Amino acid sequence: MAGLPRRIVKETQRLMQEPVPGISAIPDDSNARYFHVVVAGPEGSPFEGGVFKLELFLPEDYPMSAPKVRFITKIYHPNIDKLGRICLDILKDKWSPALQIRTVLLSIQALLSAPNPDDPLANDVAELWKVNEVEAIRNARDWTRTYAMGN
Amino acid sequence: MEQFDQLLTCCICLDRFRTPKLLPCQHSYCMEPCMEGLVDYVKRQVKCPECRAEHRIPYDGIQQFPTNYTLQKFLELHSEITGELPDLNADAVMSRCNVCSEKAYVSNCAHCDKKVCDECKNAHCDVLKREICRINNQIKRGWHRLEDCLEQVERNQTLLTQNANSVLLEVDEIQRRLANAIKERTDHLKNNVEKYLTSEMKTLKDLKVNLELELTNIQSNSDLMEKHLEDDTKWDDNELMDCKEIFLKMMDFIRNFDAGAGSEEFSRRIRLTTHDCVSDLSKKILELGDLKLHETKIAPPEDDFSTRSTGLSRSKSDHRLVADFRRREEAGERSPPSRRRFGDTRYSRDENKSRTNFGRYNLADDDEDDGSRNRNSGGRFRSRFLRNDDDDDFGTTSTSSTRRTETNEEDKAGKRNRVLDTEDASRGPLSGCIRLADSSRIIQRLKEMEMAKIRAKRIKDNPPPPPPPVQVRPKPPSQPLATPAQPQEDEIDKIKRENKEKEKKEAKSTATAVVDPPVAAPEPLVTFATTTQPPPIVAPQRPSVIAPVIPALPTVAPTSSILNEYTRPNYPIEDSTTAGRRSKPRESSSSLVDRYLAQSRGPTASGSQSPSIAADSQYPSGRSRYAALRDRQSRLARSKSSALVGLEISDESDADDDRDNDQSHLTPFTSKFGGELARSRSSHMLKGGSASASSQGASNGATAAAPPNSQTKGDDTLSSWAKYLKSKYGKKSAKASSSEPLSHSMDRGAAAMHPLTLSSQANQQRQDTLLTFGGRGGQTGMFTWPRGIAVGPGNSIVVADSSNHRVQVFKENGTYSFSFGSYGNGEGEFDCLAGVAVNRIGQYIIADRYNHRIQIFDPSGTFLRAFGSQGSSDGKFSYPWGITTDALGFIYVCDKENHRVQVFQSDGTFVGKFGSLGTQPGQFEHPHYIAVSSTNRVIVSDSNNHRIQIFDISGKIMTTFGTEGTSVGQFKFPRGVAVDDQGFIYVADSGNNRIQIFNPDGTFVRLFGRWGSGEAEFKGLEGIAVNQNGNILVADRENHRVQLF
Repeated sequence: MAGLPRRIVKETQRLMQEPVPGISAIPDDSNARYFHVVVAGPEGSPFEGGVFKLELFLPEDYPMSAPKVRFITKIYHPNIDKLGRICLDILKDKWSPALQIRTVLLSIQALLSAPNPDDPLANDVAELWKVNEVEAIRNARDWTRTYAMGN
Repeated sequence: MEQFDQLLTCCICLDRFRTPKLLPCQHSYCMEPCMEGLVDYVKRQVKCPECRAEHRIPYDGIQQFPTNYTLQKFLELHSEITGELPDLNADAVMSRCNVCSEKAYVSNCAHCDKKVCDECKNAHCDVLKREICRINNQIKRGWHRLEDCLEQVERNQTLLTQNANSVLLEVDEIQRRLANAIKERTDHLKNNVEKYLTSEMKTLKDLKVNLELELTNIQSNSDLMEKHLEDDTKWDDNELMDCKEIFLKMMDFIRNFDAGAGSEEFSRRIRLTTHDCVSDLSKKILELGDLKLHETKIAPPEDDFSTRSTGLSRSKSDHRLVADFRRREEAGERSPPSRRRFGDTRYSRDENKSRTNFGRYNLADDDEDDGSRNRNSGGRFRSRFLRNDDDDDFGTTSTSSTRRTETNEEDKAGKRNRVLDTEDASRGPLSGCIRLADSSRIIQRLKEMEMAKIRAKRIKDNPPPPPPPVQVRPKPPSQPLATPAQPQEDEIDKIKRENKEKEKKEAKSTATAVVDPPVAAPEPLVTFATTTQPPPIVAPQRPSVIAPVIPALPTVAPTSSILNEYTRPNYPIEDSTTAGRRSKPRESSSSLVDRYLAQSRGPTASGSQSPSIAADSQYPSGRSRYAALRDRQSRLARSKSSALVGLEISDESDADDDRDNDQSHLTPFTSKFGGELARSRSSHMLKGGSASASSQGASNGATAAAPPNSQTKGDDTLSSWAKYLKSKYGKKSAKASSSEPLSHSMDRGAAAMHPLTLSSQANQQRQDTLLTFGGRGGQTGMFTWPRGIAVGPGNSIVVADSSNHRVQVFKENGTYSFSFGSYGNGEGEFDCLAGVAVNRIGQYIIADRYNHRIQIFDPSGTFLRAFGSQGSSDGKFSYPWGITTDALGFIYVCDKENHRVQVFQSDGTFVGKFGSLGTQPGQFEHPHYIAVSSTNRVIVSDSNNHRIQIFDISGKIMTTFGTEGTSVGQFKFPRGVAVDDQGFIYVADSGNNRIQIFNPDGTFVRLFGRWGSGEAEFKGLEGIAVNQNGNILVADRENHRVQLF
């Protein structure tokens, strides 16, 4: 292990000092590459008021490769499947080393405000979102209430 | 300001730009960590992270991208403005640190003059600091000397002035006396002259008066006569006669009067002759009273000058010492030869001390550094004085003591850049040591420190602003930087400590259990320990040195673990995992051993476990303790290189041999010969500390002391050893090593158990040696590391005498027949040949190992041909080792480092190859020897996989047998293989120092042999061959002999 790269250290530092509003990312005690992330549901979205837990892992060749992010809290979103995997371009092919943890988390938060059912991960959710958006939003609110607010 | 900073930050590494390279899309990134990562080697392009534009990489790589000089200038400006230290790593490329072998930003370490990473540099810095402290203490204790000198010098000053004054007085005295004398004499002369003058003048005056009178008379007479002779005066004839007489007289007088000498004589009437006296006198005056200055004399005993100066010279000596030395020590000053001459011979006048010193040190101008460096520099300094020029500088004895402070600084500087040594730093004139307080660099640094302190205080006092000001940046980032890295290391350390605790506990609990075996076992220890390799604490492949040899642990472990701790911190992660496993409750030692084995040997673990378990049953806890330690050590001790090389006693530094040899080295030494040899062994090894530690441990075991004793002893050694290590290498290794001494004593106990238990299992028979010959040497019939062995025509014995670089052939009865070969890489020359084979027509086929080729000779030893060169392609070798031929004349070569077997025709044409690196059947790891049976089965000793593999001639794997271990049917680095015409397979199990014999199907038949130098004892088995009578020929490498059974 080559010691933690400075970039990760710097990013972590910055995250602790200047957190993004609505997002908190704390590195794990035993593994500095693993972050416990908590994202607040953005205002104006069906997820508002909810508190979503995510996990973020920085692979060995970060920043050349994208961090791995996953929702731990269940969420009703067309681009997030039931396992919590996120369909976000910057986490896959559109990743660039110029992006950072904070930008990734911000994008995820933005994704929550602006779901994209045309590029779905969870097919049925996306279907419903396209066909009956109101109901889908209602479902989303339900799920938020059930999973993202209780504990 | 913040935003400036932001603009100067590379967005990939989030750090200040390091050699920013500009992409065509106008975005810039650091060249070497960041840009490199962006390169897509497949498509040979980079994708800009910010705009995602793709650019082709120029031919020479990313260096060819233009550097963003604008940015660089901004960076410089920025650093100037903020007063930050420029990033020292800006131009550094990552490379491997020489000390911890990690890739990091490296820079030159002034201490060891190698490229090291920052951590190691810090460690070195700490070492340096400690040394400085140490030396400083010595300085403190020693500077009273200088104070004494100072007093002495002052005293000398007064003495000297007194002396000088007295001499001045003397000189004045002389002057006065002489002046008086001269004055007298000249007065005397003058008087005489005057006297003479007056007297002569008187006579001359008288003469003058007379002459005047005469002249007037004559004139008046002649006038009278003229006037009155012609006129009418009546002259009487008597009067006229008188007149005539008078006039005649006057005429006579006029004619004859000679007043004396001419004028010219009178100018030199009186002369002063000096009889050369004056010039002599003046010469003498010049030489009047030379000053004998003490050390400007060439030949001291010649006292042809006024001797009053002896007092002067003696008192001058001490003073001279100081002054001269001061002058001497100014950097770069060399006394002109003339002065040096004076100085040279002065010594005989000096006190003895300086003379001897002078004699000790050369006349030649040594580097001044030596002088300044020397602890007992008093003497040295004196000698410097001797060499110095004459000194008129009586003045300043001032500051030598105060300026001496930093000799070490110079010292350390040595050949390096002396950073503190600037022009304006005032130097101690004597020692040449600069005054640290004056050195500009030191001032800067201290100032910075103060500033930083002030700033820190200020920040503490004020609530720190959320983004820390730029100036403070250098300080805080270091901590967060450190901390993430730290947790991992601390983890590991924690785990290690855990383990150590556990083992300590266990050790204590089983103290009693361990007492008996050591007591009971001294005898068997000796005899049996050597028979079978102590047990299945199996060596993972690389740290094989540790594995078989429990008693050897003391000697090996500290050094290897230290080294490894120091050199391979990579492995701690593994350690933590294994430790994690170990921390599970230990049901039994066997399971631990299992785990251990499983970790280490993967597929081959299973076979070896049963005997070990059986062995364990008697003394479980001790075993587990030992096993646990073993485990950890093996985990830690990955690098075989220095540990093992250090352990090698023989001269051949065979990289490949190291591991294997060491097993055989270590077992015997420590078990058979107990502590003694271990001690001597370990003195071979790296640290003396290890010797003491291990000897403690070893002697404990050898004398079968009660383990509590040994443990306490171990603790002592632990502390001292650990201390020693700690001071040398720092925390980490100290921890690891500190566990080792503890283990020594335990190991002893553990060691003792095994031979007892295993001996019952060993199916060993005593074999009678029919013939032994050889010995260490280079003469005929002697060997140095015999390796391959083969049977020649007429049952002759062909031995590859590896380190004598020759082949020796003996008759069937062991008498020398002939030999050929010499060192070199030409035809008929060898370089550490290994394998030898004889084909049907009696030709010798030699594997010329270090020349990476095969040579063929005719039955009389004449070179025929050679083929092969170093490489890994077909027909190339990398350390070809074992070699054999089959009935058809095909040559099979064990290409050891290429982990394969190559097959050639008898003329050297490549036919085929098989094998690759690996552990699967059909794969090899360091295949050593090879044999071909009459049924065309190719038998290969797959050394590092501890097994024998049998192939058919097409290279298809037929069967393999053997696993790693010491029990029946197991091997430890099997080497030589041979097969007789019935198909029985003979294996030289070198790690176990025994020969095992198998049926053609691989089932065990019997074994014999053990470690030692006696009959049927081996040290380092190499080649094995079977002659037509069924005799087994064995090359006993470390005993440098061949045995026949």
